Amino acid sequence: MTEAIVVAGLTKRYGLHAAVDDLSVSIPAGSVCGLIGPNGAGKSTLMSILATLVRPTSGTATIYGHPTTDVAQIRSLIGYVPDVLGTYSGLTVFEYLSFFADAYRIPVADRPALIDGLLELVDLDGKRDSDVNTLSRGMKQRIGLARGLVHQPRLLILDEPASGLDPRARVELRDIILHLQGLGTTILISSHILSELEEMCSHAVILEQGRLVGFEDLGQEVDRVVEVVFAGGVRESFTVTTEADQVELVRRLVEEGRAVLSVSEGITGLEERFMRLTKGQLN
Amino acid sequence: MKRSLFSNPLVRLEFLRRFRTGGAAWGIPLLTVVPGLAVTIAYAASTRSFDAVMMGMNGFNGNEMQGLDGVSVSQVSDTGAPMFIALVAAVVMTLLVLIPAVVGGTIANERNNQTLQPLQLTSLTPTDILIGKLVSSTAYLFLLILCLAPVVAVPFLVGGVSLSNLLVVYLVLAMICVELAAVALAVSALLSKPVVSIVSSLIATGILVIGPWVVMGLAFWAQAAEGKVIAKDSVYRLLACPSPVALFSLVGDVGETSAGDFAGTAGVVGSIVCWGVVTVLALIVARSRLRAPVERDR
Repeated sequence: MTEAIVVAGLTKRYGLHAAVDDLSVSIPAGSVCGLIGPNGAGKSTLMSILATLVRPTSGTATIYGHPTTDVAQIRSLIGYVPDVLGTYSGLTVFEYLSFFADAYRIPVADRPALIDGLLELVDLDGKRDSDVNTLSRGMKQRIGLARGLVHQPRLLILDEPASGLDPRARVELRDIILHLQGLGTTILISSHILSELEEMCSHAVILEQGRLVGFEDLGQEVDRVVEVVFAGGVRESFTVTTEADQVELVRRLVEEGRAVLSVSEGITGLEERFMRLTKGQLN
Repeated sequence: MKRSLFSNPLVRLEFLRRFRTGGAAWGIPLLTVVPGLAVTIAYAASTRSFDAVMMGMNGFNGNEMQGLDGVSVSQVSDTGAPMFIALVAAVVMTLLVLIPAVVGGTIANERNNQTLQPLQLTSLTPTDILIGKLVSSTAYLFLLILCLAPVVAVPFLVGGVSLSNLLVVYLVLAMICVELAAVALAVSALLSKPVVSIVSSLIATGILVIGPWVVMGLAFWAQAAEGKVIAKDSVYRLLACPSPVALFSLVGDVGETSAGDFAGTAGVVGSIVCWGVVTVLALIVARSRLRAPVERDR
């Protein structure tokens, strides 16, 4: 698998404060990579550097082999979706997306089909002629996603896309992201909701105080803790690696004559790893 | 690859938004009513003074006007000149408020609404964004000035104002619009809060328009204190050149009035040069602020 993003010794300082501190990591192409960390960990700064909005103090970042200093090339490769969608008043959804298609030099003849396809992808084809300012936050977030995809980027950078969304909108957003991954788009996504990230991410970059504290391949089996509740309210924790291990654990406990009431995961794998790797220190 | 003016998506977007949302409509009455009032007042004043002269004459006969106690045909036909000067002064004063109000918040609004970053990440260059903003706002201002045509026609039809006067005044008004729009864009690019940006644009416009005349006045005062007389070709008069109003020296005589001529040919050349320098500098400042930080650092 080729690398979509390669970051080497990346540092961004604001005065004496290092928002990103000597960060080195590689993210494979075609992956959905979660960018995780407490507030002030440097997630947004890293995304801004990759989006060519901020220049690093030192170190390099390349996207599909192109350095982020090659601004025009990088901007054609990436779609950046910030946490808040900036809209223009008095425009319909179609006009809004058409404006950005124009700004990305998409030929006029190609725009209607492209925009209709994008609206179908984000499930907003019924809102084509609605005023973009009147949409709900969830819908605006999906319009932002469509805007980020208007020039068919190979890398999509999503900064907290699920913030402020209701549960249904979150599920829909997750489905869209997984669909995009199926189309071969690499996705870098930051979020505080680790359980959601675990459902859609193939990899996770864990940051704290601007430094890399973990790079996880979420496809790999790792040890996780399950909690078994027995009759009488007795609770015991066991470590398992696979789902088969968990089934075998329950079978063994029953064979031993112990009255198993329920089995639950105390915390999810990603949450457990995040808590283990980070100390909750603020930068 | 450079975009032509007509393929700039921001120009089309701004036109679409400005004229669809109806925000454009309020400028038309503002820029028609205020100068219209000025013309009416100037007309009333000039006809009253003319009537007074007529009433003071015995045996007035229109056929005998020529040579009658200093009242000539040219005086009658020159009624349009003071009306025209009053009209232009009112238009300029209205524009001094209107331009910062229309242009002063444009880039700050983009930043405030979080639409500037997505624009910067498209294929649009900072120059494209700047041109889009400048062209869309000045085109609107030109349209407003064109809407004045029926009002401007009154002093022209009354007499005393030549067609060349009209054309040059329109040119000067257009130049003032471009310069003040460029200044307002620069201020807007420097600030992030739209309201602060509009107020700052108003202040910057005021300083640019009035400041040079104040400086020239102080120089005159200092010279007068030393007992020196300020000649027509005095270099101190050129201190007023940076003011956009100095561009009216291009107009020359209106009827028998040479209202815009403050420093002869040197004043004309100086005001054009200053117009160019101020406009270009303002656009350079605005463009530098429209570049994403990563481009700005380089």
